[in-house]
Parts: sequence; structure tokens; C-alpha cells
Amino acid sequence: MLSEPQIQRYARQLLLRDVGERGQEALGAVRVLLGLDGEVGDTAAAYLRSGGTEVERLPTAGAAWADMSPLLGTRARRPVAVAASPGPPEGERIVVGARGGVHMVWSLGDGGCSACLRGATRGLDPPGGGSAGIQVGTLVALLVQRRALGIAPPMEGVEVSGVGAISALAAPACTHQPPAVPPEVLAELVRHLARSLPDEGCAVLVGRGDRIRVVPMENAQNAHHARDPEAFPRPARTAFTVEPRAWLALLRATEAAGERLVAIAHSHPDGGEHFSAEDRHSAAPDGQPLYPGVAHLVVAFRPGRPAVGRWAVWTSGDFAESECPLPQQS
Amino acid sequence: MSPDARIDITGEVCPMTFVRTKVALERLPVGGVLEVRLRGDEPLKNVPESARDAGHTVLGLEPLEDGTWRLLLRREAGPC
Repeated sequence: MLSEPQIQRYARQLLLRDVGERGQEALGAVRVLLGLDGEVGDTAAAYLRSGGTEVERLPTAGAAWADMSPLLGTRARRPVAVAASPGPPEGERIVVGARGGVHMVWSLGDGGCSACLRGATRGLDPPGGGSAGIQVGTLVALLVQRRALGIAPPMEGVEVSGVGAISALAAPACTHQPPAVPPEVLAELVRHLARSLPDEGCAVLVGRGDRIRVVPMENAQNAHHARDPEAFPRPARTAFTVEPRAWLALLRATEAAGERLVAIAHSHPDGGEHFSAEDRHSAAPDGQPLYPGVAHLVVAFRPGRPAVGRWAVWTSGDFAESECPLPQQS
Repeated sequence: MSPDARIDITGEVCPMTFVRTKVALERLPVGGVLEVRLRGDEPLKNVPESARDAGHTVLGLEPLEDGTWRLLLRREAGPC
């Protein structure tokens, strides 16, 4: 609860819809570790402090953020770090930089992808000073405040052109984390895979924007196994293959519809829930993924128990697994 | 109707009239009723209007014998 002096001091911004008393408390619950110098840093600090947020100016702007990690981890208040590109490696953070006279400010919060932030800020020069620096400093303060108030998406960015025009930057479609697939789509996928039992089933998730749909595929493994058991030693109960022509047709249809491949899914009727060594080899035969940015999903079936799902996403040179909660089947 | 909380903003001027009202509403649970005592043309017009704009419900506004007004507001869900 704000004190009477605080209500008097912050009266103007208490009136704002996204602020109010709870928002003002949230602004005061953040401690900004500001690793920016010059006009950018001075302006950001002034706006943040006048808005009720504590700011700690770091004397080592541009230094290795590894030295700062104790600061990030030990503060009682919620820390938000602000720095020039590449910025700190973890935590809630704002990263600032410039390229060709255009300034960019990127903000990452809980649920945001560090790899996407690194990609968006890679190779940026340090921000400039003067009037551009003042303008960028106000945007830094704004993005910190949006994050403190809980109204910022996991990743957001703003660009300032050479003539001072401000525009929002679209966050990249993240391919470093498992895609967000609606439960009803996962349920449809599991039903399709269940129909293939006792063989492995396979399907593809394609999407445009936030909309994702299932494209059921046929497991052609048994036909290949019968024709060429040396090249295809395993039957469909333990392996899957999509006919090349069907795969090509899928890729063409996806492109024509303006969609993209989101994930390749297959089932393990034997109950193995992990993305196996064989799966990894098939998905990245030469040590690099055949379909960069496309996730893999394994659905394990176990008699008498619900299916178990696991994502496998290519991150930092290998497939990283994570759980994919599946909806209960009726 | 018996309010859950009361504030007196007869001694305040804009913008503190609605700042007081907004903070008091935010401190109530959803559905709670706030009684606001106010005086003068400006708050009489602006406080109910601002409360409606913020998504709350104006339950009543009535003059009192001492020249002040009694405004009843119900706190609704969503941002204040």
C-alpha cells in the first residue's frame, strides 16, 4: 500500500490505467542495473527514478556481464539489467544498440528466448549520444516500466530511425523453444498417432502466425522394409518413413498456403518417451538439423496409460528435450 | 446501501479528486462499494465520468443538505 507522500508524488501516473496503486508498487519493486553511459544512460536513469524505480548505475558499462551476475542474483528487488549489446546472458534485461544510424532497444522477460535476443542484437554498435541518445534513453525507461508493470510480452523491441521516427519491432518467431500448440491440436495429433498403432504413426504440424494445424502423414516404413530390408531393416512398429513424394507435396502445399513447418511428430508404440539416438541421427544426419527451426515431437504410447509427449528442439548444437503435456484422451 | 469504504474529497482539487477515488477503489475487492463525498462542479462532473471510463459502476449520486454530494461506486474487475 502506498504511503501518503507516495500518492502525492506519483499522483499523475497513478491515474494511468496500467499503473494505479498496484502498478506503482510494481514500479517500485524493480531495481534497474543500468550499464549505459552518456545521454542514453542519463535519460533512462532520470525517467526511471522520477517514475519511482530504483536505478543503480554500473561503473563497468560494457564490461563482462559475468562479473555482474552476483548483482543480478542477490538483490532483494526484482532486477532488470540494461546494457549495450550483447548485454547480460540471463535474467530480465533490456539490450540497446545501433546499426547504420538506426537505434534498437530490445526487452526480454520471463518466458522470452535468450537465443532470439542474441540473434536480434548480434553485431549492434553501442548506442550514440546527443538527441538520439536522449530519445533512446526514454524508450529504455518505457520498456523497463512496461516489464515492471507486467504488460510487456516475453520479447519486444522498438526502433528509432535516423530521423527520430519510432516504430515497434516484431519479435522473431522463436525456433529455440518448443512451439505453443493448442491442446485441441495436440489432441487431434494424438488421435491420429493412436490410429496407427501398433505401428509408429507420423504427422506434421504446420502453421501461419499463431495458428497451427495437424497434417496427418502415412508411415510408409513397412513398404520400404518389404522392398529393401537391408536399407530399411526395421518394420513400422519401430520406425517411420514418409514417402518422398508425399513429403514433397506437403512442402509445396505448405509454401503455397503461406504456412511453415512447425514440428515433425511421430509415435513410439513401445513406450520410449525420449528422442532416441536413431531419431537424432535421422533428424540431423550430418550433425546439423535437416530442417532448421523445426521442432520434433515424440508421443510415447503405453498400454493402460495416457500418452506421454516430449519435444526435441535444436539448441546450441544438439537436440534439447522438454516435456510436452498432452491433453487427456476421451 | 451500506458502503464498504468511504472517502472525503471535498478538500481536494483535480487531479487528486480522482487519484483518491481511484486508489480507494483499487483497495476494495471486486464488487465492493465506495462512498465518495465530493463538492463543486468539477469533481461532480469528472469523478463519476472517470470512474465509468475506468470500468466501474456508478450506483448513485445524490445531494446532501450541507451542499456536498454523495457518490456511490462499485468496484468492477479489470484495471483500475
